[in-house]
Amino acid sequence: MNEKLSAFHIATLIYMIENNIVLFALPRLVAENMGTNGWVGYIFLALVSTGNILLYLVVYRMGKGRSMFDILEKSLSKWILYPVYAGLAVFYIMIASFVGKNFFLIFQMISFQTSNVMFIFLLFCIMVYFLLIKPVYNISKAATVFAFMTWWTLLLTSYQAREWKLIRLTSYFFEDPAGGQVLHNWAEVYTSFIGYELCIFLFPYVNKKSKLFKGVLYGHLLTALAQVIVLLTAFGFFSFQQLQSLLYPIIDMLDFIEMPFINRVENLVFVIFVFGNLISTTMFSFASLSMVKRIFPKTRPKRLEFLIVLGVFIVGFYSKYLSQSEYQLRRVLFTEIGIAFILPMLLILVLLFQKLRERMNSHEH
Amino acid sequence: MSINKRLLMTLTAVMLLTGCTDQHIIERAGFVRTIAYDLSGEGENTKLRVTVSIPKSNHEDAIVYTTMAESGKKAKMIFDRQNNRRLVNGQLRQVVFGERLARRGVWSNMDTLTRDPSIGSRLHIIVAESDPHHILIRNDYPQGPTAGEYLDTLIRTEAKSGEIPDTTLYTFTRDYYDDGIDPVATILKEEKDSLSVDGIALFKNDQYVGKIDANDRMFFALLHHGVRAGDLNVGIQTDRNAEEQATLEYLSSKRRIKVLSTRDIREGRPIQVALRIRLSGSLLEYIGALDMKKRTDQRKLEAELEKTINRKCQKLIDLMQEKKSDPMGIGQYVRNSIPHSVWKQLKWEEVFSKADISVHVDVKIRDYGKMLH
Repeated sequence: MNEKLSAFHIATLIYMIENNIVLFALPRLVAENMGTNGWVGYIFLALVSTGNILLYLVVYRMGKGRSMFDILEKSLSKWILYPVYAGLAVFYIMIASFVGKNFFLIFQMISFQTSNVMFIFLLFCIMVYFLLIKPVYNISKAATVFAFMTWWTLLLTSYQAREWKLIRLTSYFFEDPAGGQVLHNWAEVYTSFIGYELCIFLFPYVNKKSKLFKGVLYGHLLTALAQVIVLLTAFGFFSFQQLQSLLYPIIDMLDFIEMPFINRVENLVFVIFVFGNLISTTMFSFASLSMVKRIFPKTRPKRLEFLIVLGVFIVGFYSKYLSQSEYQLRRVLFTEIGIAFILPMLLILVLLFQKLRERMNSHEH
Repeated sequence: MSINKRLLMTLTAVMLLTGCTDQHIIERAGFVRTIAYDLSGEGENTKLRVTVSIPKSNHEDAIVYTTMAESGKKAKMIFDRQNNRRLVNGQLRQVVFGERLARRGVWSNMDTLTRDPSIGSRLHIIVAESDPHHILIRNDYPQGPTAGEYLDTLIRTEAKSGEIPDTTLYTFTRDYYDDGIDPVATILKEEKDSLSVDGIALFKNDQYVGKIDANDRMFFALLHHGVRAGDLNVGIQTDRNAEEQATLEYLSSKRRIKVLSTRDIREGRPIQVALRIRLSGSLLEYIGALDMKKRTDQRKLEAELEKTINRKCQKLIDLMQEKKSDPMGIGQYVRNSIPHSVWKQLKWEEVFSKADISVHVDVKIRDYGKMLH
C-alpha cells in the first residue's frame, strides 16, 4: 500500500488513458475540423495541453503536494464541496462508461454483429472492477504491461508506406475543414488528449522521488508523438476528401494490411486496443472513486468500488447505438476539457487566497 | 485466494462461451468470391443485373447466382433465399462492372462496398468488356478451377510487376475522392480459352470514359506510377530498314512531375508540365541492324528507344486529355504549386485537357544479356 508511483509507471499510465477510443477517429477528426495538414494543428494542441499540464504542476508546487481535497476543504465548507464532489463523481462515471461502451459498439459493427453488446460490456466492467479494487500502484503496473502489448501496433504503419505519398498531404494548411475554422472544431480534436488531467488524483500517491510531472509530461508527449506518426501516415495514405468521409480511418488502415498467412487483421488488432480503453475507464472510475471516498471515508472496502462499476455498467445502457454513443462521448469529453482547464485555475486561486490570508494572519500577530 | 480462483474460472468460462452467440462456422457460410454488376437493359430505370460466384469447398466448382435487382444488397437477399448457406462478404476478392454500367457511373454501387465493414479494401475493381455474367458462369478455364480464382491470380500477377496499376477498392475510392487525380480500373476480356487483361479503363469521376489499349499498358504504367519489374516491347521505326524490335525485361522506372508554369492560369493560358521518366532494363531481345558490341550503337539504340517511348507516351497523354481524365495525378502537382483559392476556382478537367504536357524519357540499358553483340 505504501509503495509510491514511479515516473515511468505514471508515464505509461497517462499514455494508456489518453490512448482511448477517440484515437480511432482521430485522423478524420483532424481532417474534418482542422482541414489540410491538420496534423500541424494537432501539434499545436499538444503544446496547449502541455501548458494545461503545467497548470497542474503549479498547483502541485503551490499546494506542496497536498491533494485537491485538502486544498479545497481548507477554505471552503463541506456543504458546498460535497455536492460538487458528488456531481463530478457521477460525471466521471459517465465518461468511464461512454468510453468503454463506445469501443464495444464499434466492435459490434466490425466483428460481433449479433452479440449482445451489454453482455460483452458486463465482462469489461468486471475487469474494471478487478482493477479498481487494487491500489493505483497496481493499476499503473497493469497499464505498463498493457502498454507493451499495444506499442508494437505503431509499427503496423509501415504497411502503409508503399502507398504513402507526400503529394497527398497537399501544400495547403488548414484549408477546407468541413465546418469552418471555429474554436468548437479545434476542441473536437482536443478531446483526444483527455486523460492527462487525472494526474491531480495521483497527488496523494506520489512523493518527491516519484517525479510525478516528469512522468505525466513524458506520457503525454509520447501519446502526441505516436499520434503524429499515425496522422502523417493517414494523411499521405488516404486522399484528404476521403479521410474526411471515413468514420474510423484507423480501422481502414488496418484493413489494408495483408500478410501471406492472414488478411483482414483489423479484427485481431482492434481487440488489442481494448487495453487502452480498459485503463481509461478504470482511471475515470478511479477519479470518481476518489471523489466518493472523500464523502464517505468509512465505508467497507470494495463496496464503493462495486457501486461505481455498477454505475458504469448501468450508464452503459444509456448509449445503445453507435451514432448516439459518439454524440454522448463528444458531449462528456467537451465538458471534461472545460473541467481540465477550470479545475487547476480554481485551485490556484484558492491557494493564492490561502497564502494571502496566511500573510495577513502573520501580520496581525 | 480460492474464491478468486473460482471466480476467475467462471469468468474464463463465460468469456469462452460468449463466442457461442456469434458463430461464424466456415462450413455453414457461403463465401462470395466475386460480384458482377451489369445493367439488365436499356433506358433510365433499368435494373441492375447482379451475379455472384461462390467457390465450393472442393475448390473445383463454383455456385453462380444471378438476378435483377435495384441494388447489390437487395440481390444478396434474393440469393440468400436460394442458397443453403448464409452468404458472407468477408472473402470478396473482385467486383466486375459491365461496360455499359461503368460508362453510366459506378459510384452508387461502390457505396455498399465501402460502407460494409466485412468487405476488405483490397478487392480488385474490374471493368469487363464481355458480358460479366458469362465470365463468371463459365468454369472450363484451363488456368484455374473457378473463374473467381483465375481472375484473382491473373490480376494479382499482372499488378505485382507493375505492368497494370493495382486497381483495388482502396486505390479507386482514394483517387475518386481526390480532386487532383482520376481513378483507373483493369479491363478484362473473355477469350475462347481464357480471360485476358485487355487494357486500362480511364475514369472521369466515376464514369468510364476511355480505354488504354493492352499493348500500351506498359507505356501507361510508365506515366502512371513507378514500374518495378515489367517487360516492354518496343517496335522502333528506323531509317535503316523495316521496324526493329527491342524488348526490355525486368524494367524498372521512376517518374517525376514538374509543374513549369502556372502563370496566367486564371486567364485561361495553358499550364506547362514536364514529366520525366527514367527507366532501366535488360535488353533480352533485339532484332535489328545495330551492333551491340559497339558503344556508339548502344547509345544509338538507347536514343531510339527514348524517342519511340516518348512518342507513345505523348500519344497516350493526348488521349487522356481528349477524354479529360487525369489518372497520372498531374492535378495533385498543380494543386500543390498554386494558392488554394486559385485551385478551388479552377475547373481542373478543362485546364488539364488544354495543358501543355511534355514527356522526357531517359533510357538506360542495364545489360545486354549473355551475348556480346
